[in-house]
Amino acid sequence: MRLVERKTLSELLNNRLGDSQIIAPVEIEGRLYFRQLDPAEGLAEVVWPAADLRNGHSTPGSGPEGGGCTKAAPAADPLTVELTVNSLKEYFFPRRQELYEQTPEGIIPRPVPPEKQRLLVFARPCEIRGLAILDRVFLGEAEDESYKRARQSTTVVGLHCLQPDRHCFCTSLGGGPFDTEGMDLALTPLEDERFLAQAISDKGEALLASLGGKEAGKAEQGILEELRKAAEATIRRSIQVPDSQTMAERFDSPYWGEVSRACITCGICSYLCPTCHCFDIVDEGYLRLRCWDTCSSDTFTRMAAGEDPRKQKHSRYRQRIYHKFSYFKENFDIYSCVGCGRCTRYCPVKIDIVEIVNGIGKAAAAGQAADRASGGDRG
Amino acid sequence: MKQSALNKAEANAREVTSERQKAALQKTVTDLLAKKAVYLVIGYGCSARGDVVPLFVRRVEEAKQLEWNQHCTYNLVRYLTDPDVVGDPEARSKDAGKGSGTAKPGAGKVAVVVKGCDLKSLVVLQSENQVQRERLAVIALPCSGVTDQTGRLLAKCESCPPDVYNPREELCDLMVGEPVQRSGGRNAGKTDSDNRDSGYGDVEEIDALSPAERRALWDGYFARCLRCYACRNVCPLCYCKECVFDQHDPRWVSPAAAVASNRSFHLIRAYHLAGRCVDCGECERACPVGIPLRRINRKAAMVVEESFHFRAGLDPEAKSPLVDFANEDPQEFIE
Amino acid sequence: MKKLKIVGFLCNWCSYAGADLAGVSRIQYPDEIRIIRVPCSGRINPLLVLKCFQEGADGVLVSGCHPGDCHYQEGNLYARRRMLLLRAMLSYFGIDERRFHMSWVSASEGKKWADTVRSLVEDVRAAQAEVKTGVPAW
Repeated sequence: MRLVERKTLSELLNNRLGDSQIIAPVEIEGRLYFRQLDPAEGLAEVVWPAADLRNGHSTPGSGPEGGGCTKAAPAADPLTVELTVNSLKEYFFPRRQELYEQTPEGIIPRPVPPEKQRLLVFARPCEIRGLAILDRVFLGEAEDESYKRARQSTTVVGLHCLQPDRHCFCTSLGGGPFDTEGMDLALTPLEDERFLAQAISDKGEALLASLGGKEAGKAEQGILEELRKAAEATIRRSIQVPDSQTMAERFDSPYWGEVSRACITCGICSYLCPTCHCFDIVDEGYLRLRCWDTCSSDTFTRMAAGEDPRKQKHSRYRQRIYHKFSYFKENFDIYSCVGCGRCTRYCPVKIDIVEIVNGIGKAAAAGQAADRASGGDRG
Repeated sequence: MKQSALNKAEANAREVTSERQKAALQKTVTDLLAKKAVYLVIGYGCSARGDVVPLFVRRVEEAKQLEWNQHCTYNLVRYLTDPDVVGDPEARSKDAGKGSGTAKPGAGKVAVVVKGCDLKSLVVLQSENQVQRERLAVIALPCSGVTDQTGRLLAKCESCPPDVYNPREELCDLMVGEPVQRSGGRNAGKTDSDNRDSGYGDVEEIDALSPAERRALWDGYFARCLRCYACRNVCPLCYCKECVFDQHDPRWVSPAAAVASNRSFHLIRAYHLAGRCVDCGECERACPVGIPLRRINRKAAMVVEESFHFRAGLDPEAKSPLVDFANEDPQEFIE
Repeated sequence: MKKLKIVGFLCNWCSYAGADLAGVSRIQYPDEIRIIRVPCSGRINPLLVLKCFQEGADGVLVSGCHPGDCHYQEGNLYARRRMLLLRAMLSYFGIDERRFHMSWVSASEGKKWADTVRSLVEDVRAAQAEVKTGVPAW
């Protein structure tokens, strides 16, 4: 572990702008997004962590939190949102990806861009864990070439979260604000624009070597521990996924109708989620491409001749929960969720996935009684 | 200093007013449900974590969960055309009723809690025969304005005229709360239907740019657009069972998110809302990437107002301007 | 000079007949317009106009009967409203309004038709000339 100055890190990134693509958080009109940096602009747009927290980063205002929080919520909640709106998912699984052209002369695959090294900086532990989940899908039996290329050519520089906000719940899913899983290099922001840098992989070792810096000692280890504990303590949400038997038993419950009633079936939760990976294949003239799709949409399971097994909203919302917390677990032994909280943070009607999942088990207990009381169909 | 003291005083007054209104609203709904005058009340509630959420109340004892405060931003009229909320008379799905908890059609009245701006979108729904007005119980609340999480008044509220923030009685069934007195603000003392300066300054600002500048400005936003359709889905007037963007034979616009197809999407949606959108602002609030959608819909509204002399949301009997014509419609642009 | 791609939607009863008259009268006008015959200008769904732009058209023209002369009484009056709004929205997003025209051309106005196309082509060319290289048509 080394103690590194922001200046040094900045220099390294500047030097890399020539030969690598750098993806970092930038601020656009008050919100943070991951963007591939334009070498001509340099690092001017990049939002650096610690310094901005100190100055109070600009608040999204009526944006992601627009549903409004009553005074019932603690006033101490940080309004500062450290997380980018979009997760880093789109740099591995793009929202629109051209596959090939089907012309009368035959199939012409889209040209593969020349391999360029990528440096993804200031990604958060939660979404980096999300990559490991996407790996299960895209690097499984049917390997996705472009995803594989993207993974192999990218060095991931993670950033620890000093102030998880009220929507974060990574700790109850095996992650944490100071997690290092999946990172090549892990950065912890300190005061005075310094960072603690830890190499997690070989790529990270190489990066660390070029950063130089002072070897960190016991004092720094201590500070790291304190910051970690403080960060973890701010996370007040915890998801408790019921066991598979309960999930199976609650499939037909009217619970799903109740909890999904407010849902407007848009794609915000799916598209911002670091682990959601469903896509559609679309033709634009001769060009065939792949684009993001969401199971919330009422056209997701639409088939030829108009059949649609998930025409009703509750069955789609239920599907979302089961895919993430039941089927994915069965197939890959891990939940398709990293607790980043984006789905709740940006949901236009504040549908809360944690409340809903936690409620399945409770519904199970009260379920039979409630069903009897209301005569089954709450009409 | 003086301004912030005034704001603080107003904020306090707002809180007291909304507490009183909340109590009155809960009582009103309790009565409605007890008398079985309605089978469903769509209102605002509060989640366990303190967020305002849409609330669907069916039982008398649930009425006390209803909320009313400055964070009640949602336009609940959106749910009146949602078959999974109010029940779909044409539902033929095999799992209709099982686990969905939706009402059987023809089961009675639905009550909906509205602010003045929300009410305007209901007026448009009425004029388009999308609701059976006699099966609705419209509960309107005079409103001091709604805010974002920091407590800052939403932009749309700053220009809200008195006959909107105090909803028109003839359009509602029940009014909860006394008319609100708001100090200052644009359009104070004017009514919505006045031939007033509607304050389209935000649109005119963009009109004043050159075509190339406008192109660059909007292309920048369209590059961010994810095509999540939150704007469309939160809109009370985007109720088509099969939306033009979901058609794939013919496919008018590619669903893949890219500048060109996103431009088509936003243009077409605004076009379909021309003369119908009442500027409730929900689309802009819902957008996760901060696209200034009100400025698009208001452009269409400005054209409709200036050229066809029509404003949406005032008259439940009005004919929509885009399915109409006038002999004196402008034609200077035609050769 | 680059050949422009301009699509013209002409109503069968007036404008198409007018264009035909221009033809038999041997009046010369630019051939960069490709004509689609429709029963009435009121049949034109604005989506069709947009589709042309999406597919790379430089310009689009909608031409119908003069108000009062529509074969279907008022189809052109609906078109008038729709196209005014469409032009305004296109312009708002930076698609130069010179790229989208509307005209009233009657069956006897062969010369007017030729003049309309000439001025249309000029306008579209001028509009496209101001667009920076690399910026796509849509």
